[in-house]
Amino acid sequence: MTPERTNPAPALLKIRDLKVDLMTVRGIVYALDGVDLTVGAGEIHGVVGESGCGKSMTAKSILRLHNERRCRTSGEILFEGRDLNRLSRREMEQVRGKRISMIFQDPMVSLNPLLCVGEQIAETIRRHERCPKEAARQRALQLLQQVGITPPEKRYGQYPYELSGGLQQRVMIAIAIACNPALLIADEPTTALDVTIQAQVLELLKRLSGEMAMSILLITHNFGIVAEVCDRVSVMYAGRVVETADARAIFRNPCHPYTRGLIDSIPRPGTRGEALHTIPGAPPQLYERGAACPYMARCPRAGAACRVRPEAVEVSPGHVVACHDVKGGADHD
Amino acid sequence: MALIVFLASILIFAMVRVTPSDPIASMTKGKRISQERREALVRQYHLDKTVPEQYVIWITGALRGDLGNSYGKKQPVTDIIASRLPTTLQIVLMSAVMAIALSIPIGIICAVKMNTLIDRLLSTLTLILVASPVFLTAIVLMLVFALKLRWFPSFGAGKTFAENLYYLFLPSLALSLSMVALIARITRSNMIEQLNAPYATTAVAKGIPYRTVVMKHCFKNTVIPVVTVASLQIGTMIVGAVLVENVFALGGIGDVLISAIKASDYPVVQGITLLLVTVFALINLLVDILYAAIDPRIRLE
Amino acid sequence: MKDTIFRHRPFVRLRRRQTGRLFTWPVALSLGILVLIILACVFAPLISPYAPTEQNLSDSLALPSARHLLGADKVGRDLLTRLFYGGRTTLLSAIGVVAFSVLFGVPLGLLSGFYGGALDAVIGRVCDVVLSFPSLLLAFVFVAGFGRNAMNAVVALGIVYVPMLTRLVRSLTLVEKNKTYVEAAASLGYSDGRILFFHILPNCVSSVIVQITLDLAYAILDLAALSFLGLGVQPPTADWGAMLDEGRNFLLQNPLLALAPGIAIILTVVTLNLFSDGINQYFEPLQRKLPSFAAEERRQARRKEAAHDA
Repeated sequence: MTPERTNPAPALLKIRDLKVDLMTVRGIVYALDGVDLTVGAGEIHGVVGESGCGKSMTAKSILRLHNERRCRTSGEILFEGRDLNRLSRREMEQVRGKRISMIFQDPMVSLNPLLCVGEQIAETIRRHERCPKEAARQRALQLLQQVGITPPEKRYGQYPYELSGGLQQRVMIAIAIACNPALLIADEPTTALDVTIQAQVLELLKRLSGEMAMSILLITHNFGIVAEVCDRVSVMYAGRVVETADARAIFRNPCHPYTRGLIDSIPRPGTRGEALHTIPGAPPQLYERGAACPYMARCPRAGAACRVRPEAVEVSPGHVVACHDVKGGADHD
Repeated sequence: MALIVFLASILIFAMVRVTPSDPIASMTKGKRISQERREALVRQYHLDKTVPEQYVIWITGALRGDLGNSYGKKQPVTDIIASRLPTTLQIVLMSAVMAIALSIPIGIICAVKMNTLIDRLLSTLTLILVASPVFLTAIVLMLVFALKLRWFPSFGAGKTFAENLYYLFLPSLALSLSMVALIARITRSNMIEQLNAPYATTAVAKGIPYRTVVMKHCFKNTVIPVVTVASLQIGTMIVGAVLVENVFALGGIGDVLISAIKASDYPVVQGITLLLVTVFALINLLVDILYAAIDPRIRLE
Repeated sequence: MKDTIFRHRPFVRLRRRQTGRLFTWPVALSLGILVLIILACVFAPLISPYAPTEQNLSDSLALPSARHLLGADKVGRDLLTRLFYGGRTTLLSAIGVVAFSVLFGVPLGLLSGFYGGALDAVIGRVCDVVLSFPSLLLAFVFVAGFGRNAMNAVVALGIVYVPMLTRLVRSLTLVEKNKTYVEAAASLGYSDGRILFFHILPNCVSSVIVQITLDLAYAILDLAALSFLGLGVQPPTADWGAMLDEGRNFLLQNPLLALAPGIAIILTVVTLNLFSDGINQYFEPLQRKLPSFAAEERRQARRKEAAHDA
């Protein structure tokens, strides 16, 4: 139980008690229910969870990409000393793409089909750095090179549909890093790609993070990716963060029963013939805000205390868990 | 395309000639004529030949630019068309320009301000305009602006192009209003779709101001399908022009067509229809080329 | 066993799958007006003060009064009466047009999409030819050849409307035919006809319904245009389009003669459009106006209370 990092990085992004309610055709969805999340400078921070747990929602909320007429937000998103939730629209536009940028799950539909890829990169540069057209073009060509797209001159004028999925995602990354942002949010960046390409893209992200001292918030449902690239990781369930720890600590000592369940469900080599571990039940629908611990219904260790939502507790430096039975979790170790 | 027009010409001919009627009667307007005169007319208009033979004569003539002679007016159909076409063309052109200039901004405003008061007002207005038959719009405009306010003439066309800008303003406006409504509605729903597309989110995430996202990123993606639909509407506009000409008594090609139908003047009906079908096909071809010019995905193929 | 596989496919996808209601107020309002219009037309003989062709030359071009609520036309026929009877002609003809197009368009589209190949090519070509005529032009030619009357106008428009429906159904069929439930049905040895009409068709119904309501609106407009030009319904039969034609000569004496049938057309077409929009929005929730958070929370609180009381 020694801290993994002796000098924890200073916080770059600090989300406190973020709540987001969405108005949908099915009624109000209480999508985020008090998310607490801290991303340190230069770290790669993974966010893991089942689909619908609010991880993408968290990512989009940071940049306020929701249809503002259809959502209601409260809580703080502190970034470089400012609360993003309180910025004006114009101030927010200055943050997007410049200080914080984002890449998405499906690059095919996330690039404008009618603009050549070079222009889509150069546009960002021109927008934020007010530089002449030619300078932006040169910079875009450099970026293409940097994300491993060659030859850049040829690719610059191509349209998204002319590129493979992997190259498209690299273009997205080039757009994202164009203005040297402090934070890159990657929302399932490899889910839509082939397995071999996945590794390359992850490797690229890891390399860029190191080269540019850029933090990455990596949203994924895949614990394998967490193990490979992340420094720290947060596990989300039903719109809350249930456990945050250093990546190695979480595999060694998962404290929340949900985290344990997720890690146990990873198929491992050498366990042939054994039944795969699964978590019984399904995550709750978030149409109502309950008072109980949302994991109660599926939890093997649920008790009477779980009728009240647990507060997050720091069980060891840098390891925070929201469960009444933290001791029980730790004892298993 | 040529094949389609060819097949259409067969259909036109078949439909017009399928019912037995006496073309001579429509030539002479029911007056009695001598037997020799009748036989001469029959020979002159190839009515003694079988229907397929008549078709071949007609279509080969059409390829050489000869659409035969009118039964009633005894003059070449091409001459009739040539003298009447400019008015109709000008109406269609003027209203197409007006329609595009009005409808796309309206549609975009409605989409950006979706479900607000201004959207609802404009949407209601366009809904009423789309539901109003073109001739009713024309009648109302005529009643208000020509008969009551006397700002515009209530009938007739001018002699020169410039004069016609004034004479044909009301008819063109009437014709464009129903188009405006339709195109604006399509623009609105397309734009809403594009604004919700992932690439628009990417653009916002890049820090591009919303206005630029709308006008640079979503505009092209919206307008391409709108252009397609609008181009199909050119057909409706051609027919709409017929109705508007009828209301304002402009003496365009539509007027001739309708009176020819009523008088069973088949060569005129066939000629004008064939011309309109060909023009329509050419416009569609043009739109396809235009389409390829703005959408790189198609250009490649 | 055979049945249970398909049970979960709803016959018509109109079931409530969202809290958004099908009967939003525009839909309810338009449906209400539509029903009123239809009732007025159906019961025209009962509610009309006069007979539709009853002339009274002393009332020629009478202005609205107690005697003639909306006035009378050139030969002294009561405008209101003719409006009711005209609605009958117009609506019946429009329904005829749509029925004709559905009768031919839907099976052609199903066959074309399902079998593809030469059949598809032939049907597609025929549709192309019909569509190569700009909108009403084909109807003009048809009427020119077969004679000017209401019946021919209906058939002509029916033909014009077939290709659009055929293409719609064809594209829907192409999507549906690759779905697993069709494979399942085929693997159970169902006949093609049964698969087409009992499995694929029901899953296309929602889009077809939206299209049909729209077509009905367009048919009213197009029929009115034909009658207005004197190519459709012939006098003295009352019809909104024909009445507009008669009325436009007396715009200064009594504009209602032209405007009243015009407004009747607009009202009917607007309500049909609203209705169609309503159904469409129900299937396409992207554009729907959603309630405010406060309103939705009040609604939920009410519902909870109701559940609590019960």
